[in-house]
Amino acid sequence: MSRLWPEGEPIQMQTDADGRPLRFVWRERPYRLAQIQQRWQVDADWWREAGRIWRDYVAVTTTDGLLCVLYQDLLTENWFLSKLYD
Amino acid sequence: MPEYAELHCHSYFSLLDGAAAPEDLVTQAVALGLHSLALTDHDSLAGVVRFERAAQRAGLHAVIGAEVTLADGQHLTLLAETQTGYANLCQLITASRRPRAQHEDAPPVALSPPLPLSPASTWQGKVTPALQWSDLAAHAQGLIALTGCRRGPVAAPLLAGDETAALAAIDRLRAIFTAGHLYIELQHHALPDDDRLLRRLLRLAHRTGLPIIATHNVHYAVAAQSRLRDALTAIRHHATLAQAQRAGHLPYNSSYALPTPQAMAQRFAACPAAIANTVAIAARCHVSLDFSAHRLPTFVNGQGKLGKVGDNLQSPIAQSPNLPISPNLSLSHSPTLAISPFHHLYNLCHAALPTRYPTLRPAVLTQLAHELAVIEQAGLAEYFLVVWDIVRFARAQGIRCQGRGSAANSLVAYLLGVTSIDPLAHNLLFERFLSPDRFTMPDIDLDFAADRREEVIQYVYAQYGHSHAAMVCNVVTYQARSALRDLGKALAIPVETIEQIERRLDANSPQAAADQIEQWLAHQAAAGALHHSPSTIHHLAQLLRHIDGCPRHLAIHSGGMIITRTPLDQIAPLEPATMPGRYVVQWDKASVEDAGLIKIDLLALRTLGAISEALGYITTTTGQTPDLDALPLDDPAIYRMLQQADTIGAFQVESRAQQQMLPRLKPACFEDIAVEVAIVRPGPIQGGAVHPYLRRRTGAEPVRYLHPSLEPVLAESLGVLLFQEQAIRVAMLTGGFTPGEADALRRALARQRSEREMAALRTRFVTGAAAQGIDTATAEAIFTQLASFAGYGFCKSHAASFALIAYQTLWLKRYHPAAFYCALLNQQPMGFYPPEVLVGDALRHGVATLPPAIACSDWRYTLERQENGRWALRTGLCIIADVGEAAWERIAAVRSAGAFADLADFCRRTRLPVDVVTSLIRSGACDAWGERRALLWQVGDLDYRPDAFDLAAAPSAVDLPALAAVEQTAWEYELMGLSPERQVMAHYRAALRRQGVVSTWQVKQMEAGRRVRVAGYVVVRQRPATAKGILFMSLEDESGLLDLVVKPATYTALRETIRSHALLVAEGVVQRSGRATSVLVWAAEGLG
Repeated sequence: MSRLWPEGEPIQMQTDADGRPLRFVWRERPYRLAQIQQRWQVDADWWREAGRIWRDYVAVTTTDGLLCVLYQDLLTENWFLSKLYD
Repeated sequence: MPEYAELHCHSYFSLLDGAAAPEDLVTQAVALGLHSLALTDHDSLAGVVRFERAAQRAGLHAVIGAEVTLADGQHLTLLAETQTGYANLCQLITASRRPRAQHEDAPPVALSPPLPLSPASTWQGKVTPALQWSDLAAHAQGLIALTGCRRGPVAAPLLAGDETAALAAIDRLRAIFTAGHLYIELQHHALPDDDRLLRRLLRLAHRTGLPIIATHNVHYAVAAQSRLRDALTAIRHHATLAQAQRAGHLPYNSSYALPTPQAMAQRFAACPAAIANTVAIAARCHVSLDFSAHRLPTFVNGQGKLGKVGDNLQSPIAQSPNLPISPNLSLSHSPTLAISPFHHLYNLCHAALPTRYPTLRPAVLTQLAHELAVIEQAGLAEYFLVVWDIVRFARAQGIRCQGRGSAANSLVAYLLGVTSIDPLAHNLLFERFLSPDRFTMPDIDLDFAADRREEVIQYVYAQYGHSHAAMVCNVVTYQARSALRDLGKALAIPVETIEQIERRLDANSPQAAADQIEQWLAHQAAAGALHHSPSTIHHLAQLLRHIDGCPRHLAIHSGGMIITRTPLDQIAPLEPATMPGRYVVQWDKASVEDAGLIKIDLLALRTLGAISEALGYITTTTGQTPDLDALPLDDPAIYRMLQQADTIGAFQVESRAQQQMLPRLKPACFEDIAVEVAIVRPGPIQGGAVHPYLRRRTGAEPVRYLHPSLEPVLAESLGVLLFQEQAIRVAMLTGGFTPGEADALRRALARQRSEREMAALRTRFVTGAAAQGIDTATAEAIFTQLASFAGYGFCKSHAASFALIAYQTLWLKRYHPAAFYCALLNQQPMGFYPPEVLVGDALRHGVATLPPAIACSDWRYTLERQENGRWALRTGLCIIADVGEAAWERIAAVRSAGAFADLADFCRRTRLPVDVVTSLIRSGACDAWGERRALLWQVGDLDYRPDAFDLAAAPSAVDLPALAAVEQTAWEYELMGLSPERQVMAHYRAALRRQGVVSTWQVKQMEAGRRVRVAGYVVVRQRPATAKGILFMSLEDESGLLDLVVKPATYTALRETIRSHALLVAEGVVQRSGRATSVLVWAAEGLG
């Protein structure tokens, strides 16, 4: 099963000294990253009223076996959950 | 700190893809501490000269390359390692841009023989570049290949998971590029599959044993330019940004700026060899873009014989000095003997002496010997012969031509017939054109009659071949208007809003437009009227700032050609131009010069065409052909015309600004005309030369010289520095400079200088002056004058060349006005004034204009003899809107079978479309057959049927009101832009008189300070950049033209009125300056 949040679910992310994500809290539950599968950066839509989409995406597996896509909004530096696969 | 060289980088010469100037890339590369930088634009070397020069200045090592597009659309990165590699790269790009038909299954092309001259019908013009593998194989020597970006022949199949295809591509490349010349190219831009691609490429490299190299596929210098790249990409796809993004055309993110070495090292931490190899490759690449050794064409004389450089064989027959200049002057009577080009030049000059100098003075011979010596030393004899040959050809074909520019300083050029100005009689200076220690190439510009210039260009191609002669390109950059439109579309701003902005804009450059738009946004009240989101308009302004200087496309330069000894496609790539039969080199004028090549400008001057045509009419009507080049230059009638500013239609001296200056300057001799031509320009006006000169001329100020030694140099311009030749002479006489140094000083002073540079130049000058016995204070003062002059000084020989043409056109206007005006009208568009003004001026000079008439008009204007014996102009049908040449041909064909009896007869026999017939009627061309409204009524029901013809006869019962005279005139202005027989203001004259509104002639009789109301047709509107926002207008009525001046504050209030009305009533006060009149306007309203 997969779920997608177009607006992004806010999460609190903890990173290491180099900025690599380590663990995050979503809906008050903690998750720890087991592996980073893929990383990419998007910079688009800057011309739209709603504004620029400038994000660092990361597809990760958590220690409890969840596969999710997280991103950091590079304008606000906040982290969000975008997609979740069970 | 890791060392990194960026070897895959695009400038804005990757059209509508790259977003940075080559200079910006160099600056940023240095700032980031890159080891070297390569320029690899798409299928183009258009930017390499600028790039290399900038890199040299900045102390950065430059690598020359290109990203070529292969036949299947894939990309390959090529770097030139050696000069051979560079030549091959040029040939490859040329090959990739050649028309397709020659490609299919063709064997590898040997490109050095001439490129084929396709007949016009099959000419394809610009094609999408597509390089055949066979061509690549044939021209790979000296090149290093990198396997390319994601669209490369190796990466593309890997992305699709097809390792076999990737390996096949590698095999193919390995067959072409030897060991050490092929590298697997690695890039990483944080795209989702970049990690995977990188892994696969590394695996492949390991498997094949090929070395790896990291690049960053740079498309701009700094991240701030990424948005411009997005916009350019959208423009390239004719889409909005949103559409382009949806279609997947836009870059994924904004990471394509020049990277720091650290960032690259980090990206490729797993394979540091990829980073180290960038430096290793860069260090191997050395290419020179100095082609000065290749530039001199091999002269081909009029009989097609090549003169060989180095032949010093003497002609066995002693040449008689009285030989006339013969078009086929070949002085070797034995086919096996050839004389050197210099010898040929020598003979030509001496053969011309009797014609040019019937009374030979020793001074002429001394000057000739001096010039020939300099030419020989500079090795330029062939260059002169090439130019001579082109002029000889043109004259032989009856094409009027004249050399302009600094070349007119040369006696040799005068003797060869290239220029028409006697440099000795006009006190010109050869060193302005050429001197032994000169560092730049001489510049010979040739003006040809506009309508026949193409024949000359084709002659050059025929003589030297398409491999050795090509047009120089012109880089068309974005201006405010084009940028606004293209960027507006990309941002999905509605057309109406863009038009609104355009109307309110007063800017030429995108940068200035951005400033103005930002200002409007700052004034929020005004912004509300823009009907669009402020943030989008902000984006627009930002993009406008970045797009300033960015090329839009490459076009052909108006006339510059280069002719070279080495086949051109080894020097720069060639592209077919849109015009059939033309190839264009990818470099523009500046790049061509910086690369050490010589450019000859073959320019089109419509005035020369007009003169030719006028002479033709004179020959036809009088049986005689005046020799304009032999006119004595002291006819008082001509100078009277100048002093009264009766110069409409004359070359260079007809503009509004000129007409204001002429009555003040009052030219009385030929030199004065040259001064007039030189002085009415933004430069001298801004540089403050105009007023001192005028004051001294009118005696308001005494003529002074800073030092007696300057008197011989500056006497001709009353002590004021006006001409570049004078500046050079001053530097030589006063500062003790050699001619070359003096010219270098002049050019250095004309550029932007640092404080230090200025101080150094000043010191040198003052020291040199001291050696001449001139005290420091005086020397300093002279230098200051030189420095402030330098920006605007005009080339005297150029002014003199133009003054000669001005004199000739004035002579034609005075003594053969009908022929003159007829030619001018037929050579439109040209000159400062529209046809409407020319027709009015003709009438005031006794030449009537007859309306268009189906029975007697031609397509163009013709001369018709009237009953009183005078010649009049018959309006041609070409100026009537909607009547095209096809319609005319039909009329002419049918008319020759017999005159038309009436409208019905005309329509039946010509079967022209209704709209054409309507235009003909409304313009007055059918007036012979009845009143215009009645005729229109008839034609309203025009019905062409295969076997019959029906035209509704005007029922006598219907009483149609005849067209009022003013309506007639209105229709004529609408359809032709003028009324042949009556100036529009004539209709209002009675009413205006009653209201106390005067005519333009009356204003010119009034004293200064008088308040006045004057009405007329606005024929000119100008806001010159030098005039600080002042608007100049010319108002025309039956009696002539009058200048109006509108100050900025008034303009703001009156702008709508002025811009939306063609007929104005202006109120203001009369101003006078000597005999020049104008009205300073404070109020205006539309008329009618």
